[in-house]
Amino acid sequence: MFGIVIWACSLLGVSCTTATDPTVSTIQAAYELESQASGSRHDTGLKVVEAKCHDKASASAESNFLCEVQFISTADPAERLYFDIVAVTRNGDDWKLVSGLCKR
Amino acid sequence: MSWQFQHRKALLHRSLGAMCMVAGLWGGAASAADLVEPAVFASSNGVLDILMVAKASPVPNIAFTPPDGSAAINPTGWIYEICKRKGSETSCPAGSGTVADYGGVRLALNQGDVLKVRLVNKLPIITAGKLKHVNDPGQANLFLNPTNLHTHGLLTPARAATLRDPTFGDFAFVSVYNSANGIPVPQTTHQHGPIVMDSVDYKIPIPWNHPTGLFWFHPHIHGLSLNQVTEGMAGIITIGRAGDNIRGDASRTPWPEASVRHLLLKDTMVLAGGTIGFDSGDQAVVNGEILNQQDPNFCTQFPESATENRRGGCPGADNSKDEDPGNNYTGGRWFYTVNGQQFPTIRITDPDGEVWRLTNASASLSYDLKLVDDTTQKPLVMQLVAVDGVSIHLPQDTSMDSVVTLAGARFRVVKCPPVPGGVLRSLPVCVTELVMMPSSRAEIWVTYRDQNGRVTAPPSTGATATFKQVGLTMGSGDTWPAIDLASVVFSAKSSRKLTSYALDIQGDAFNSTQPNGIFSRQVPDTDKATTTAQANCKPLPPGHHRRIFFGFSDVTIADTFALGYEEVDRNGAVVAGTQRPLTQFDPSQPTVCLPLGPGQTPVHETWELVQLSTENHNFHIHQARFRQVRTSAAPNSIVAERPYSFGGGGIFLDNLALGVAEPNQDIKDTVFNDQNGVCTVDQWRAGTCKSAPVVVDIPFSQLGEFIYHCHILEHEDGGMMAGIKVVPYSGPGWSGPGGGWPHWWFSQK
Repeated sequence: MFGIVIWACSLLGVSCTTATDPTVSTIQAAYELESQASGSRHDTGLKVVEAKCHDKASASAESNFLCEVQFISTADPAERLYFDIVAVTRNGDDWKLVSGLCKR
Repeated sequence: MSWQFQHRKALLHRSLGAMCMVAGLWGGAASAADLVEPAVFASSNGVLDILMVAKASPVPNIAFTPPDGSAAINPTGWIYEICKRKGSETSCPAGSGTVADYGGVRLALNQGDVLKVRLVNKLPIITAGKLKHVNDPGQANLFLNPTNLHTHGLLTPARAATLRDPTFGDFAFVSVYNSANGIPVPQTTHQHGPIVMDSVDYKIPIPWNHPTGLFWFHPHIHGLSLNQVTEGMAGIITIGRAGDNIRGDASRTPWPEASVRHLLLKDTMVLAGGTIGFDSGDQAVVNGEILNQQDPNFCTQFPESATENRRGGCPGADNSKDEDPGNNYTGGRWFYTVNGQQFPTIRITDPDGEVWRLTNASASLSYDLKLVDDTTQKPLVMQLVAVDGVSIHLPQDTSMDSVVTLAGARFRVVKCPPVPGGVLRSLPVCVTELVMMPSSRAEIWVTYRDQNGRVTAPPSTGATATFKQVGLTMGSGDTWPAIDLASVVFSAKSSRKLTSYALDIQGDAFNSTQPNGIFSRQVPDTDKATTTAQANCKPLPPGHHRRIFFGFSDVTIADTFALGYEEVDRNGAVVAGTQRPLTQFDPSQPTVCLPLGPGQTPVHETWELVQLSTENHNFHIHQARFRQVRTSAAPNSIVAERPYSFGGGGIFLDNLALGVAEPNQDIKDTVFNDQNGVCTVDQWRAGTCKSAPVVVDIPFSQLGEFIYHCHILEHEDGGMMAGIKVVPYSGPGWSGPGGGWPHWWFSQK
């Protein structure tokens, strides 16, 4: 799917970077998938509230994007804001959280 | 072995107290420029809102002449460019409202103010091979040069950001990266705090009952603090005015602000081009490059000849032919500056003298300071006014011995000339020598005195003195060189108006312990706390102490700087299950957690500081300050474990020099040859390594998540640091969720 979008964009001569960047909702979905699959590796109950992603030119070998994220813990009444850099990579039609998103 | 430590084996094991003075080789009138006060950014209407841009910039006051005869170079340091903030901008406009001075600025605040800072990181990337900790676990991004801000000494919450208020309080765990250097790659160790790109906003409230005095700011990135402070990143903060607590003994009017001088002490090592050995191996350096790690062997400790120029610096030494070879710094120079100026002239024209506010803003260097009369070559007597930002207050019957204890043995205390009874509100303390480890502040009254220490008018022809760093050896560790820092000229033309004998001080060390003082009154805004309790977050039972060990996590490996922990009961027995071995800093694992007292009041704890090293360390804790005490003292003594309201606190410190451990003959060779000069806890318990615990009373009055550490930044960056949390009270009588402290909690109150 992703490849088709890139092919269509190049055919039309337009940039699709913004359309294909990870977003708050896609990072949230990637986190939820990963936290369920990885057991205690990730803190649970986190909610991403802001994300700004940088393309693969600056990312590590195994990820497509590095994203600045802000998130909270849904169990925290003070709504303490956490700041982190997460690595995400495309996984078919979804995104996979490679690393990051921890409170400490 | 660390290149900074290559010479240590050959050193004599002298203690901090073994002070040496070099003869005044450069006496006489000075021709250097007059000392200029740091630029001031003052609050108005209760707020100081500034933009601070951390960036590289040439240092115009330092001109380095390379040994190859090429043109003089102004070395490029890292400084704060500061201006008043108007909106969401991230750069300061050119013009007179912007200051970018290596010498540092002064942020002038008042009690009840709010300091708002937008910190922008425009620092350059660093050659990874020139960094010591870039290969430590989780530290691979250090070469990107992240930074942050710590307001050293301020009693203000260590508040994290929230969704409703995304600013930070004095929260030392933030890392701000410059996106121009690249995006930091996530680390698998999870050993980091908030990671923010390009800029971060701080909002730092100054409590209305905060002590007035001298504080400072600097970056606090674990693994990089040494480098960034060495490059020049530091400035000072003042709360209120010196006259809030000081007046003359003759006129009883507040001390005039015009006769207060701020002296920010910095130093930087400038290299000649060539090759220098770093921990990772040899690296090429260029003419005029700043060595952003401090090597105490850059210069010889004392001049090698009578003609060697030690005014404001010393020449680089060749250590390559030593028994334990080090670097050849020939052609380089170690510059020592006061407010960014080399060997300035300080003209004291006020007949009543001046109050000097001194800050040691060096990363690792300890000063041993004297003001030496150029005629007699004897140190002038000075009156101690404040230590670490809090004006002192001692009852008139305080013994000399107690003064020395309370002052953390940082000063050579001498008997003051007699003052008529009933004139002064507290005992005057006179000193002739100040030992200032990194981060120390001291405020002193400097006025011309005769050979008996009595205040008097200078001769009609004038008088001069030299402000000196006389050289200091840190036990088996670093040797810091002797340097002449400034020339002082006493040239008063009129007679005294405010003073006859001494300054009259009603210190905040007294006011802070009174019912409305910051160490007594209810802590505000506990409902806005952003730090939550962890499983072991309980009040310390009555009579119990916390014990902190200063040593190495593995004594067989050099530079594994670490802190250990245990709780001891009223009989001195270790409480089972509380021990934490000497461990290098891990921000995700706070060592100590404690709640405030009932009614959200400050809590006093007693800590024992145990030195295991044969080189000196100094203890510093954020968001608090402390008194050195004696557990054997009577409750109404000034050195009692808890301050009593009549006498007040005496002297409050925020950093304290620890002595050195002394291994006995049975283990001495083992400790020095196989254990890098550091004892183990077992050796200390067995009594084969002598080190009397230094006992301090710490009133915790600020909420949040913060740290305690050695403020020799080489040691802090190396891991001699630990986390602490202070959370709101949630015990009996508390209406919020959780709670349930045992009944003895009330009995100790």
